[in-house]
Amino acid sequence: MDLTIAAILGLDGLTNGAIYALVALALVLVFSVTRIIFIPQGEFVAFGALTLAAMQMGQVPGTVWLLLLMALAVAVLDLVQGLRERWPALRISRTLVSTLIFPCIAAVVAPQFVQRQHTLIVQVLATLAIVTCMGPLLYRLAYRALSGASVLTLLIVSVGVHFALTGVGLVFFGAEGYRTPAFWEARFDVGPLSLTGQTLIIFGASIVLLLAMFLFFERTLMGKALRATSVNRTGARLMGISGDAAGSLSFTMAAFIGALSGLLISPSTTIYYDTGFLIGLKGFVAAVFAGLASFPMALAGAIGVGLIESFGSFWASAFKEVIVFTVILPILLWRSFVDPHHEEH
Amino acid sequence: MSGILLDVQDLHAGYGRAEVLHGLSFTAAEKSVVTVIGPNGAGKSTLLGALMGLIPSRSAALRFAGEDIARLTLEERVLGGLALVPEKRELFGTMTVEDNLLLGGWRPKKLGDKRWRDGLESVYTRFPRLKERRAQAAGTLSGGERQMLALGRALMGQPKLLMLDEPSLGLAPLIVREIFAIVDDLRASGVSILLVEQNARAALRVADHGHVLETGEFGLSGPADQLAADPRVIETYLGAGRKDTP
Amino acid sequence: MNRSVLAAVAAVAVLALPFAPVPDFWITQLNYIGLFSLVVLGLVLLTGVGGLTSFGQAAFAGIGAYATAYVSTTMALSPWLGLVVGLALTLVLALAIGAMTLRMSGHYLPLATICWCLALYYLVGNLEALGKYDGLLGLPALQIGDFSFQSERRIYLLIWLAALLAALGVTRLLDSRPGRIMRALNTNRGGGATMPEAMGASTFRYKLVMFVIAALLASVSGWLYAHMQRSVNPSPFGIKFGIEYLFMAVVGGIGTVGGAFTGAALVKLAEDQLKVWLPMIFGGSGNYEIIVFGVVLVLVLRFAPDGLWPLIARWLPAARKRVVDESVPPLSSRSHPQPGAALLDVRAVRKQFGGLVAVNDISFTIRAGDIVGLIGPNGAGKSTTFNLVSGVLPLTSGEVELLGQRVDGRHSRDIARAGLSRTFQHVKLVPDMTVLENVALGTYLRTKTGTLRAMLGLNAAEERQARAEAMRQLRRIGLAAQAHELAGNLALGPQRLVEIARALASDPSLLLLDEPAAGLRHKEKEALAEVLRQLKAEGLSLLLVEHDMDFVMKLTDRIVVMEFGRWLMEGTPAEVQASPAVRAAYLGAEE
Repeated sequence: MDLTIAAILGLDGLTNGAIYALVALALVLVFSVTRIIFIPQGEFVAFGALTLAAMQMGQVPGTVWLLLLMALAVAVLDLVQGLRERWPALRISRTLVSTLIFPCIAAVVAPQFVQRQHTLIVQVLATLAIVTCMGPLLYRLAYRALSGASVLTLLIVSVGVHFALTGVGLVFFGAEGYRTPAFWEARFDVGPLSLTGQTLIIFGASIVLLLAMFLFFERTLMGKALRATSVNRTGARLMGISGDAAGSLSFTMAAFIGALSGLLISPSTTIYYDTGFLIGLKGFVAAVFAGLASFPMALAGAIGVGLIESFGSFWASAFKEVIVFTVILPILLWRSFVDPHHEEH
Repeated sequence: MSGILLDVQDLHAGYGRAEVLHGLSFTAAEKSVVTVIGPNGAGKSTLLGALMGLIPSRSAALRFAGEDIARLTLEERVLGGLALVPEKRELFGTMTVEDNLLLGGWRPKKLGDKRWRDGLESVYTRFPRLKERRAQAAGTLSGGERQMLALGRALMGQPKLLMLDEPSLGLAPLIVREIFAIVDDLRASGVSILLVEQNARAALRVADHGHVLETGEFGLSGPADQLAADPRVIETYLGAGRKDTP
Repeated sequence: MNRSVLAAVAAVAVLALPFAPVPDFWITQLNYIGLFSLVVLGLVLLTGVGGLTSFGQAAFAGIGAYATAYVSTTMALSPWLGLVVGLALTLVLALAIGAMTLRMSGHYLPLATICWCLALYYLVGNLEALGKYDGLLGLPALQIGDFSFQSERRIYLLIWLAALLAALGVTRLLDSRPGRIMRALNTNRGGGATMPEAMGASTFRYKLVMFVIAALLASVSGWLYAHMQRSVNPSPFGIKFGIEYLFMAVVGGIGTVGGAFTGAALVKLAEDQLKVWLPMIFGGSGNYEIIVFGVVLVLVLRFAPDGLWPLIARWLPAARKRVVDESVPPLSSRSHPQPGAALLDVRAVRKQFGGLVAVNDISFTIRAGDIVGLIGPNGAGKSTTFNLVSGVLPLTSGEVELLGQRVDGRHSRDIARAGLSRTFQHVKLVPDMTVLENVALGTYLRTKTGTLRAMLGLNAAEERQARAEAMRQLRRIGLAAQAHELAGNLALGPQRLVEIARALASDPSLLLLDEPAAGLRHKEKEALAEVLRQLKAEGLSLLLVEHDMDFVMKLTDRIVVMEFGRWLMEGTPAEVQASPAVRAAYLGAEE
């Protein structure tokens, strides 16, 4: 292996690592606020990519219908709860409207929208909007009622949700794989390396997102409230910060990050309805390296995974998954010793 | 004559199969300090936990500031003006002192008070040591400073009733004196306080009215100065004495 | 007609089925159900009973399948040898993986299982020698002499024989000395390692045993599958199946043997129907049934976390009540010290958590026959001291001597072996076991049955002795009437008494009681005090931590008072009550 090859592999590893980092960040965020190990994050990634792909082909993306279905289900649950707890009519109608308004508008407007073939940026924004809205709805449907459950139960629920979403992905998007157009078609030659515009956008978007998250968590009260919930849930509740609201917000952010990740890699990787799982798992390896707690370590871990994967694939291409998933075992072991764990009183 | 701020009737609460509080009834008036003292295991923390909504309870009546709060969630009770400084303080250990205090301001901010940040300055005036350490992580503070931070954070919420769970716990006698001086000062500035304590003497010194809690039921009750002079309080703590000792 | 008779009849009926005019389709279905049940039985033991969630059992099935495939095709040897090789390989791998992953706490374990399942899948799928993703073909059928198991109806017999024997073995195991420890380990049901370790068991060893058994069961399933299909490829051994096995266990009833069969049957039959109907509804082809599985999994966890078997079991006749035979010879007891002899010597014991000193060089002594109370205001360090003495918490410095042996720094199970037993501040009973079984757990150190003997049913005599001993202790504390009640149904007062009986069942020289009266009402406290007075009269030495002063003052001979982690004073109850220092510690300083 000479320097050129190493450089190319390194770039490849970093690029993939950036995506894994985004996935890992979302996983760390969700776990620290809600104690949910969110295995289905990969599905948000796939949905983001597939939604844009459908729009590109002039079809109404299946995610629009999924969003509408989820919103209806939540609306029904809210209605039942409101009637049972005797909310005032104003409160019931406000809740229902805020849940249903965007999904309904999206469903109604979608056919025309995709016909018009808007510019890429408009379609990207629409995709982000649709998938991001699924986040809080998913939290409400699958997790909120179980907010007191053990981490283990929540993990099994996550597995169930993953199964359901993967199957739904198959229904709405079919078994074919898709790519989407790159955001920036340029190519730059830097020494032996050939950087595509897309690679630069991946790095750029990752950095911007990291910065935005940093500012959010450090400078805004809402961000601090989210951090507080993850540091000490009881303490946060005693301040009036609702754990459920925090959970819902973290799911919204995770969905957004997931959709964005999907849009960033789909120009260079063919995405199928079940591609999300493996991407999710690799981001997950990085998140576990961070103890599902530390953002900087998640970033480092993700870059590590990306590099291991790209160098591993050079030497033993077929076995790169084996390498990645075997390497995690000692990391998990180390982590389980380092992290304090509360088994019983 | 100040109004009744807290009205509790026939409160039962417990953990799982064990009932700890067996039908407590009492009231707390505005601008007063009520203290509940008693030996360990009596159920003092359970009482505050039940009032706050941390643990489930049932009662004939549970009214705060004129409203029935029995069906409200913990967060709703907080927004209604009830604040608790729990036994374990529940600070945000990895966040700075200032962030902890700012988070205490969540309630006034949520209620639309545009000047909620002003509370920060008044907390720093009252607790100059916190101002010195504003950028430090809360977990690095000493026991007494942590207690001050927990108090300051609760005050940021501009509560109608401040409930304190064993503020003297784990603190050296000198620091306990400091903390109780602060409680006395708060009382002088008109804050309503419900104080639960094991340290009966210090608590009765700052309180207006006291109740002695013994295995889930109120025993002695009365004005604080009367209780302070009552020898039966000592018996509650240390037992009634063995009849067979020579 | 009781449950065991019903089970035996059902087993015979199941084995007789292929000889009846049952359509081939159903025999095939039942073959799959039998194969799945073998794997799920392992999960019931590992996850349902032990609380160790595994998504990776499919990988062990794969090892069993591929081992025999390689041995019987590439090496052209007997498939029976393939079974042996598969089991051996599974054993080695399970021990290695188990040793690593079972030390992981909480949610790290299931994550690790996902990872090694994936790692093995991709490994096998990429090895040339194993045919990569196409796998190996042309496996021979099993045969014994001239009798071939080639047809579906023939191999059915092997499959169901294996499944039923496995069910019998697991059922026997759960109702035995090792089984009681295993049932206490489940952190999802309020269990954990602290109590079994304090009763003398090495919890890691038992976790490993459960893991290995589950792996071996899966391996046998894989072997049978390979010789039924006569070919192997990686797909039945990937993560999707790993998740499905867990799904079967959860839906069926994760903690019960009946649940394993129920779950396997329900899921297999439902899956077949869904595979027919869903593609018709959605058009196109694909694994749509996973949508239903995912949704059902979430719903089951939310609304029926114990699975469906408990609902079915309600309709079945009850299990036979086991009468305890108290005429059997008693278990061996230890020799106890003479009254007044040195029993426990605590010297300058200290515990520091980072900068916080919780226990600050405390010293005291207990002699045989003493009843000593350890009291102090909240936060004084009493329970921490208890935990240091009993080995539940490691000490920072200091020495502890029990009956002349140094025990500081030793595991709680070793200290239990030396003659100390204890109860806990938060009662640690196994709610799903009866009172008698809970107390019998305390006899762990006085009995010896291991896993294999238990599964083979060779432990009947010792089991009778253990139960008789448990009954004796229950009589001693006055709860003999509740022996067959589930411990989880008792009120707190009786539960604390059961804990004491369990501690007594280990025949200790010194009994440590951690807040035995906490949460009890007045009458219950009186009953407890009476029991303790009786034990004292029988010569038992007691050290108790308590908050209820009346209780302590009336029961103990001597009291040690702690404050801020330090020794404050020591004396008779009257001396302690009159001491101004103690008053100040509890009521605050007089100004």
